[in-house]
Amino acid sequence: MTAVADPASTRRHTSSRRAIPKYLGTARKTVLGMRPGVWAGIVFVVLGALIEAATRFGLVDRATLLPMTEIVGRATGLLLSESFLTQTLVPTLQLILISFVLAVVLGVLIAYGLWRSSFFRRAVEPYLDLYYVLPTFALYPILVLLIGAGPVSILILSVTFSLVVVATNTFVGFDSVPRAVLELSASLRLKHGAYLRKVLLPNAVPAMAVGARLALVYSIVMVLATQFILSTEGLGHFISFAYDNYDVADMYAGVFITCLIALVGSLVLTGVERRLNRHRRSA
Amino acid sequence: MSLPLVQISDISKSFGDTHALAPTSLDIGEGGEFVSLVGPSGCGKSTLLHIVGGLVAPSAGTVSISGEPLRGPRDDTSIVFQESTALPWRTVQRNAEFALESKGVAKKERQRRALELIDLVGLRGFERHYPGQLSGGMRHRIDLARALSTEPDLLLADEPFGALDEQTRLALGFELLRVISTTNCSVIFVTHSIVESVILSDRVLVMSARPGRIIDDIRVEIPRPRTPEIVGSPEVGRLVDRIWGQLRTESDKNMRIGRGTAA
Repeated sequence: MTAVADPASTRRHTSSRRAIPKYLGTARKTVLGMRPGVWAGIVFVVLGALIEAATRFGLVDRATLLPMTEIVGRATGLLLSESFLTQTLVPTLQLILISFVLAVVLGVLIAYGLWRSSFFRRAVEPYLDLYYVLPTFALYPILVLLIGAGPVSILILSVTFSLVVVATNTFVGFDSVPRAVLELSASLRLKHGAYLRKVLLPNAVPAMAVGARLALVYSIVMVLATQFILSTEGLGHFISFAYDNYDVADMYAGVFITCLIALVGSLVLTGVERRLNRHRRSA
Repeated sequence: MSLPLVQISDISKSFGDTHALAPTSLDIGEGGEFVSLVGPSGCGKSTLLHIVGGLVAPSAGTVSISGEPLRGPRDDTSIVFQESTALPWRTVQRNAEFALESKGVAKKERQRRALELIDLVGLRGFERHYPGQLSGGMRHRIDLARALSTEPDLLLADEPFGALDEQTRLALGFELLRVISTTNCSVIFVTHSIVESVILSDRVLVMSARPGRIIDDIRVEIPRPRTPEIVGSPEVGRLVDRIWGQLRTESDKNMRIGRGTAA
């Protein structure tokens, strides 16, 4: 060490800043005294206000975008109209729900098959790996030819698109039972059914929840997109019809309601997940 | 002396080309004998334990427990593993009940026995906690409660405290002795800690490098109940030296094998 003072190094040594990397620190709970949920609300309000301002002051013309208040107002009007509810919203929600439930049930069954038989797994794995690379959507014309453009076609497409993500995630959960727990189960001579109920399924719950969450998103996307392209009813068709007829208010109201469906569905799933995973919350 | 609880005759085990366990014969006594297996890593001590637990079939030889030839896991043998097997989605109470539940014991009865064991292993007050809320040492206590809840005559422990720090490990070791002394359960305890093997056991079996065989069978004549003060005693020191001497030769062999294959 030299006795000559290097101004830079002196500054470094006398600086009161800590040398502990920031990524080691604990995450802050609030910013400006507000929790993340509050900030999410603020972002929504600010974005809404920007849209409102841009449209009110003529920065964007009314054929492209409408003021947020008008969108929300039109959406509220639709949600209060009985014909919209019975003919458009409820059938769409039913399709999404049925698609989601079928995707979860079938996905878990496929995962169980994959887990039971390594032969089946090796035979099916290349297809699963490639699955989301293939445009499932391209199957729709074929289904329309075979079954017609009704809700059954939409369901088949939506379920086949959503179930694979449940299957692959659930399989990861099934496959993650620690070796020692397997041996413990064997040493307790657990029968197959008991092993399934008491070890395999509970162990897979977190991974299944990830799959289910994606399956919900895929179901919403698939049902609406299919209705959008080739259907005569449903929320997707409603948006597409409004778009084709320059009915900007209806179109944005439809998009807004779609966002609400996704938000509510996601919140419900988060609630269920929290309940199932309550043991993960540490003391 | 009465019939030994575990009779191991000429068992050996190979996994493919790996000769894990050389032909080994061994008797383990009834009524609370505490036997430790020590040896260099990969010497087949865990394999031997898995065979006695009925989880792995030997390539040759037979194992009899209580005079019955062993064909698979048996009801009166309990196993605790190095990694805690407390199920994260069950509370301490429900984990302690798990073995009784799988054996079809009625709910009231298994709750009562689980509580007794929870008390015995020092987890009272934590019945409703989940394993994720407890320390590693406490999770091993759950395993112990579950293992002893079925009143086994044989407890197999596969480096049960191996992943814990030294002081927790020793504390849990003495705890295990205290808990076991209230039962009539014999223990086979696999460990890589020489000190642990000496202070806990009636007998220490020293195993050679792979393929493992038993090269020494040492009786530990330190009276029970044993207390933490014996850790520094001359008798413990003498036995640790003796075992360390044997294992040093074996680990040297192991290292030479390692270098040989690497070259």
